[in-house]
Amino acid sequence: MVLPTIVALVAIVGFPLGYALYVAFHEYDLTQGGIGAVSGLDNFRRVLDMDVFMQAVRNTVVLTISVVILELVIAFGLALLLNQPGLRFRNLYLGILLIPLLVSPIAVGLVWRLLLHPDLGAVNWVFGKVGLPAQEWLSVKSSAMPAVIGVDAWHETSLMLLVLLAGLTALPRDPIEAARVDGANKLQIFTTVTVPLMMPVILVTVLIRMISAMKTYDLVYILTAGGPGGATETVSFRIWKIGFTNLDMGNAAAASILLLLAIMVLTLVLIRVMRSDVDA
Amino acid sequence: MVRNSKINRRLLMGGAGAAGLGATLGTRFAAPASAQEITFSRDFEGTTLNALMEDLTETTVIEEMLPEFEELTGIKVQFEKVVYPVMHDLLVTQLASGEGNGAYDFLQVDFYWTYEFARSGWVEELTPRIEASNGALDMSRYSEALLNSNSRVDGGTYYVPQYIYPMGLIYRSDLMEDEEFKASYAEIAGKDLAMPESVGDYVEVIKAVQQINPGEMYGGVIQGMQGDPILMEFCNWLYGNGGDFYNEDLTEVIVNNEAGVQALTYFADAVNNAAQPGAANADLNDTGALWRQGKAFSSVSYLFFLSDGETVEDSQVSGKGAITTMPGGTGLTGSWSWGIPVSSPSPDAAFEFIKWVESPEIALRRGMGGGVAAQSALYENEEYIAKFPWLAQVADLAATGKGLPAITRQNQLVEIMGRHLSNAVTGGATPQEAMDAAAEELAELL
Repeated sequence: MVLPTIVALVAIVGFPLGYALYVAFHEYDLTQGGIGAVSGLDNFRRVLDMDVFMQAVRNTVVLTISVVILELVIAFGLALLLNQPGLRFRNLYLGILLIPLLVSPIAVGLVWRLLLHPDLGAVNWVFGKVGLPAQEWLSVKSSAMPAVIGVDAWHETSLMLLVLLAGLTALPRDPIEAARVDGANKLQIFTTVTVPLMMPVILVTVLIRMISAMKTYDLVYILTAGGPGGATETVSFRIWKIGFTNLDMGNAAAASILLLLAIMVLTLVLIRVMRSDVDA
Repeated sequence: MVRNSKINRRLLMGGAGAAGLGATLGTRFAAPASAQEITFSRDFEGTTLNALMEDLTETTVIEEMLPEFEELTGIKVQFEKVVYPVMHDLLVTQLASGEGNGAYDFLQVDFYWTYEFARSGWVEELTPRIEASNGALDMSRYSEALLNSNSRVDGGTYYVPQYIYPMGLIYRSDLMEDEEFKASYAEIAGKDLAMPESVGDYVEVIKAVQQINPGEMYGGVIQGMQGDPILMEFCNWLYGNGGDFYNEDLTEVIVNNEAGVQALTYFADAVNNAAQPGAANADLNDTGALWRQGKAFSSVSYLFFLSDGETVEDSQVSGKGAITTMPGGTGLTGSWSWGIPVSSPSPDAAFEFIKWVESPEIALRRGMGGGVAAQSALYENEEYIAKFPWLAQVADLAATGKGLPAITRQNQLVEIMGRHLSNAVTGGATPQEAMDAAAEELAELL
């Protein structure tokens, strides 16, 4: 009964992963023909020696931490608002808030590139109306990454909201009622009852979002092409450059394996935290 | 059995899509360009050719004529139309798939992929086919400069030119003659407005223009987005200032010499003091929109940038633009060409298509449809020039323009330079530091 599943898994996950691992340990420059000699760890060393790759690693860390925290705070806040008993038009609000999730990252990038246009964009137009100076959002190093983070938050918060709202809706009412009967105020109920009960859901949400944030590519591609001066280049974007500009599939595969390892380590850490939380 | 058909005026005019165009072009097919009748084989009847094409006017014009090619040869052609940024990735994966295994039968190749594709053994050398065509595909239709920049690699002919996209200085010719504008300029600059003769002069001019009507008109609109946009524009500044990436025999990096660093200093100055806000992340869409809104005095850009301004319906600058060679005398001339991949399932039929699409008659109709012709004879065609007057400058631009250095990894050169230029114009490095860092990486490409 499980054989078809195993075959499908091997075909869909196992083969590409195994092939990437194989390539990562071989010389494979597309311009030189097929896969070359075994190179041991050379591809990994070369990738880690690249200044641009390490800059992309730093950018990805900043992006991932920023979007996960920002989106968690916004999504949790919105989920709490939408979870209020007796809230009218809840489904309407939820529907509107979920719209960004339905838009493809490329479309989001194109729309926001226009909105953030320094000269023709709506954002600077609004700034002008309220007396604030126009900003060069995507063309200045100091504001390019925050702008990308902001656009990502607009796009991806909905996903977190959906999961957190589902978690809140499913929370048992008894502990909250008991706390209220014991005289706890709203803040105390939130910090001592709601958040601990929600912790497994929060961790799963963070895990899902963190993994996808570490792979960010599309938004950066459209908004800034990694610029200015590499300020928004992410690991996935650099892997694409190594593979399809440098045509060095060996190095690209090695970089991909490094990204996969980083994601796996962080996932294991979070799963361990979740388990310890459940055990406690 | 070899079955042949000939391209002739009657057949050309018989195509459904050609009805309207034919009415205006009919007489021109008797011109010298059509003196030679070209024979096409019907041996490949029933074959379907696939090609990845950039989604632009030239492609649409050709697509509309494809039924005529099918009628002539029995070969059906299908275009997969995509935007430029994804083309290289899609092509590379197909080209590397091995002989006869690819999805595309012929290729549309940008000028800075030519060496990479040829030296990787991905495209067929076309010299034997061209020679065997007995003049049906006559390479003397193209200038030597064009053939050297986009068709020949290491002594062999691998590609056939499709169209060119020279770059130059595009400027508001109406403002150059406007007395009020000239007076304002003279007041700010302390001298009369004149066409700049060097890159340094150009920066001075656009910095002064920037002050005439701040926020309403920019001295220049510049595309400074990291990657292809910034490098394509900067090439003009570099070449115009007497610089280059490598020495002539490609043994030494010279991009960080005095001319190169000076060019980047000028460029960064212009981006930050004489261009639109956000120039450091602008691409061609951004600059084109500002130009068409009449918010730019000038732009170092592609010829089609000017033609869009002249022909797009809502353009505010129609009839007000002109193009000249880059100050300093040398700019970038890019071009596209046709090639046949080694992985092509039907290379013989593909060559029939190239013969047809580059036949003088079809080339003329493509030109009249809005393409910037690669064949020299079209620039002597009065109706072509009358319809697109700015094309009169093409000969000068092409004659003075240069491509990228003849290294295999031109695409990587674009990426490296794009990154370091972007870093310099946004203050992450001085021009000298940026060029030194770029030079270090460029040396690895030799």
